[in-house]
Amino acid sequence: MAAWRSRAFGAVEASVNGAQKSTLFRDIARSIQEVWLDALDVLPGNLPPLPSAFIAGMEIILNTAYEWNRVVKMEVVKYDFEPFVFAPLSPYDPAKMEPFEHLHLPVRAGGRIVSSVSLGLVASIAFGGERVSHVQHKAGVLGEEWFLKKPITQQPQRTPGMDISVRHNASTPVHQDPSPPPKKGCCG
Amino acid sequence: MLHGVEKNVNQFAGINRQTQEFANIWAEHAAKSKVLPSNSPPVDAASPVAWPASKFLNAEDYAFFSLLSILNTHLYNNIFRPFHPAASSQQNSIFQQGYQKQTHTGIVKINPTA
Repeated sequence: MAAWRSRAFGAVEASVNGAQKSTLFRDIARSIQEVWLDALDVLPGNLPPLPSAFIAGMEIILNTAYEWNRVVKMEVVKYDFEPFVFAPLSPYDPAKMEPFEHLHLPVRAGGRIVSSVSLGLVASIAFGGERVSHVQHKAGVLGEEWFLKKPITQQPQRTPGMDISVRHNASTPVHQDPSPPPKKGCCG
Repeated sequence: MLHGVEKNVNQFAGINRQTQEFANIWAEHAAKSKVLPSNSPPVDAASPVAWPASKFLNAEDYAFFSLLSILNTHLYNNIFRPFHPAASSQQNSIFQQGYQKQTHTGIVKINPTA
């Protein structure tokens, strides 16, 4: 299975040159910029055109993600990795999600999330004739509790007026739902 | 955690950190010229956040969470595709079908409530 996936992925990867990758990243970055600017249109005020650093920074992230994806699909044969993300209004599922910042009170299971904050990751492995999967990294989500409760103070926070250097350290783990991890204990 | 996946998982977490740092910088930039509206119309299904802008605490938070949501969705849809980011939609679809025939753990469709 993994060898089949690696070969199939590698065949396409070998046909993609640097210029094509650059075009891919630039197109995705421009799409992100366009969608974000549309979202900002609901806010009063005139935002000047974004500097080129926005697209450049975005392309760096896309390249990092591309490389990670290439490595796990071509070079990691033991496991399959599947990132996942949740759409706004998805029900909160503590098995696959964690709240943005640690709050004093737990996020209500089943409550609807406001948005995704980070991608989650499931890894799976063939074991005993079947495939066993585990959530390795929960998806970070913004719940309405974040607006109602103060985050625990020792955690990095994103609160109004916070210095950006502090917010930069905020740790959080975004709309596809992985299959539920089975309760099998092969791989801890 | 499955044995031996730490490096890949840590690198993946690094991508999430990168996107948050990026969103932080550009949300702050946007908030220099944008303010929250006193009222916002209800959000539609395509909105990156489920709440109207007026319910956020400030313009920077709205800009931050909107950008993160958009970034993550684009990363998922355009980079972490089942087959290859540069492959056609048809190739990706064929690959996904083949993959799911061989595993029981394919990613399921987007939540219909979205």
